[in-house]
Amino acid sequence: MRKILKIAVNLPSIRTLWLLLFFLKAAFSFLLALPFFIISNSILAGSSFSKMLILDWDLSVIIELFSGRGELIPAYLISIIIGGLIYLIVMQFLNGGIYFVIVSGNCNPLKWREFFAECGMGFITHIKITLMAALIYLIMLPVGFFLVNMVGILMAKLFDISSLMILATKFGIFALIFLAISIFSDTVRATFTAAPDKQLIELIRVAFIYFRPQLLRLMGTFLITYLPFMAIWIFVEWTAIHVVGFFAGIVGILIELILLQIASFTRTGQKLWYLTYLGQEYRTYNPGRFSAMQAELPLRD
Amino acid sequence: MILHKIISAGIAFLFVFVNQVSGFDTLKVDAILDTLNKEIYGYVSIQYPSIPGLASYQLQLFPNVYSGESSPYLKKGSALLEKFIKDKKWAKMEIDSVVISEDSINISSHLKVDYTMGVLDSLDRLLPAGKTFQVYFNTQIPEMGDRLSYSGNEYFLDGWFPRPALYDTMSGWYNPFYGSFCELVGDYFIFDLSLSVPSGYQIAGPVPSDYTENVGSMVKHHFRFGPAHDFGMAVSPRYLIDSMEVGQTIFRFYYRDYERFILPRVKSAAQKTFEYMAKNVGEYKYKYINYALVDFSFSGGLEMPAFMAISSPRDFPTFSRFYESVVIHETVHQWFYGMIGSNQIEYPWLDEATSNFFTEKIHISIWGEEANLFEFADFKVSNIDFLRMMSDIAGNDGIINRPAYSFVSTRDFFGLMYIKGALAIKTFDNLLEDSLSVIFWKSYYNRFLFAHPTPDDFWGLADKIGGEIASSDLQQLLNKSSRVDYSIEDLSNKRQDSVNIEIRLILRKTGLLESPIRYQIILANNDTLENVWKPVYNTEEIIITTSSPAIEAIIDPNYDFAIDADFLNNSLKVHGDNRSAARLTSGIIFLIESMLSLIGGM
Repeated sequence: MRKILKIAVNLPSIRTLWLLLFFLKAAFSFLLALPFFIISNSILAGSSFSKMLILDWDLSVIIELFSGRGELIPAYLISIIIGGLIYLIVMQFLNGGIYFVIVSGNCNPLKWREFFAECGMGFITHIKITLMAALIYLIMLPVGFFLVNMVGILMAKLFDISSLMILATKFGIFALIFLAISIFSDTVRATFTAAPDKQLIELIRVAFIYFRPQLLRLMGTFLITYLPFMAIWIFVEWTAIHVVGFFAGIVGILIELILLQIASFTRTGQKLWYLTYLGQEYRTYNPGRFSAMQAELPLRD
Repeated sequence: MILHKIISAGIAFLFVFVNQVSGFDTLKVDAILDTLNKEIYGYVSIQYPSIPGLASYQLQLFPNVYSGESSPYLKKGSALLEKFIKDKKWAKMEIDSVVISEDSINISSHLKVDYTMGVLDSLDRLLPAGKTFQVYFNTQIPEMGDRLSYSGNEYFLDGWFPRPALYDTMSGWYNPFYGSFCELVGDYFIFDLSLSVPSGYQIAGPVPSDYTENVGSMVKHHFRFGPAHDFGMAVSPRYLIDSMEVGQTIFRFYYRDYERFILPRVKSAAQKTFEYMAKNVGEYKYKYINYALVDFSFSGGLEMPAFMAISSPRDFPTFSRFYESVVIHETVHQWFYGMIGSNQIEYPWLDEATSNFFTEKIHISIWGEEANLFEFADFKVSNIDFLRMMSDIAGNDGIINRPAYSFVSTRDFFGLMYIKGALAIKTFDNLLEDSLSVIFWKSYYNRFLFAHPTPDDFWGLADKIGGEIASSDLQQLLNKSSRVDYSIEDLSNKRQDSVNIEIRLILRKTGLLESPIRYQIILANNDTLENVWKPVYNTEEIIITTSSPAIEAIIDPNYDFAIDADFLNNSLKVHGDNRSAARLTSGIIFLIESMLSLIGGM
């Protein structure tokens, strides 16, 4: 726990990387949301029905916005999916540099030339790891459904509890399954960064040897790093709602936008926090190319 | 003159009273619930009516809807049909024998059964009018059916005994076709019903038993109830009972111990609905009103006279007011279905759309206009928002006034009967305005209490109370499939001289409605010009000269035309306001960022 907190305290030392990743995400999101703004503004700007949205999230405005314009939803979804795929590919490029920084611990100061050299070198392998993770997600999806349905049936038969509780439990199980897969893919990436000359099969084998005994600890660490983000997120949402209601105008909307961006920035920080911990832990287990250089010193008489 | 009125009123009272007291036949049912074999068997005693020329008698054998894969009732691809196919366990009603009561003559050979239709032929030669005959039946109860089902040792029983088909002296027998989405149809009877169940079982029904008697290990419960067109029950050894009194009516709630937490919400919704309906439609005519929480094969509720089955909170989300919504909807059915009957197969909108319309009204009366369905972290949804959203998703096209069996998809049936139908009736009700609305619904109740009105009766009354245009618009909404939309197409100001400004606006109407519609022009000096547009054509240009420019124009400012496809174009501002879209986009950006964090890991 002390180690996790120490990493949190040292997070500002990778603030440049943190800011880069946040602004990349924000820029992608802004670009993807821009067509939505243009179209919705053309519909909402002239209508007095839409003014409720300035005070609170009255879903009637959103319902009216899409009523009779159902074709807009798939259009937005397709553009977001395409944008998401491009972002995913860009992130695979950046993963080479990110994992180099967190596994080597060599971040102060961040050397951009080295960073982007690692990005380029690891791009193809990170794409392969992403495809492998996607395959595992696809395999685990029906398995997960089967498992949660079994749990749901058993809970309903044995405990007489509400559907909401059963639903929450099912969601929790799914989240844990997906978290485990995500941690495994992180471990494979860390393994590749430590030993970039290994083939993917070998990387998976080595990563799995580390992953199996460490799974619970890594999941626990992820959840611990997630809690402060959750707290900030809830606080931001709560504050944003009150600010918008209080100012009831463009000032409130701008403050809300800033608050939401703070939550998004925190989420990036959360993942970097957790990855830095994983990187440090992995380095002690398998330093690979980052092991201390050994040199034979001439004996003195 | 006064004496003449008193005599007329007296005659009218006697006519109505006598009709109500003696106008209903008694239907005697005596049955045993076999919990070992999951069957219910016994007999129904029917009096052969004294109608000249009547040679046959028709019965409805509802349980045969579960008899096989080819049943028109079991919708293709439905979870219920899939379950029956998988389990290879079908259910049906068998008629063991038909016997003339006094003479013990078996007339079973005169019975022909086709699906849910049982026809007894050539009875006029065997059975003098007024004599009774007994129909001995054996009903297999399906596991997790819909109206008729068992789950473990708990039973939900509706349509479980042979019921007389409807007879009309003009058109003869009407034995409904139980296709998809069909609910039970029956005439009003006084039920004299006995059911034997193992000791320890509680029976939730429309009335408590008059008396019970022990018969071996069974307990025979005797009930007398009516006039009603159905007698449904839920039977369980686990039921606990809670009750309360509202005026002269006793509310009873049947629940399992783990459902106790939801009772205060059910009771509150039930009481408020009851009071609203009694005040705005008419008095509740039975002594008891009963609610049982049951395990269905679906989430929702089922209405039967004086008795409602509601999904257990275990099977239904309770975090919003959707649960209360089901309680309200089923309670409203006690008026529109229970006391005011209707043919639920030929005109399902008459009870479903009307009940859903009143559900909407009661949501507003209890929780106000805003966020009356769901509110969480400043996200607000009202019941009307839900209706409007669903009307766009389901039942977008189609005629509302059509039979249940004509539907092939749940989406269309739900969309047109429950959603579009409710919005159509809400529009009609808004056109009547408050004073006429109360008169309309009270008249409808008084005129058709314990009767089966048809759509013609409905719009006949609409014409009488609301006028020709309101009635005509109601018929347009129910009988035609067309998009209704009112909009302000253009709004501009043009200075004429140093004092006067010419305001020009264009009103547009899509659809066939003819009712006049209000519109407002809001001026820069905060004055509001109110006007009414009587549309002759689909568009109209309005030119007004004032001293202050217009900043906004709104057509139908109170959104009375609930059926209007788009409320956003009901208003138009001279200068646009980007704030709504800005806020929405700010939220969308955060949503996309969260999604990117999930897939990209950062």
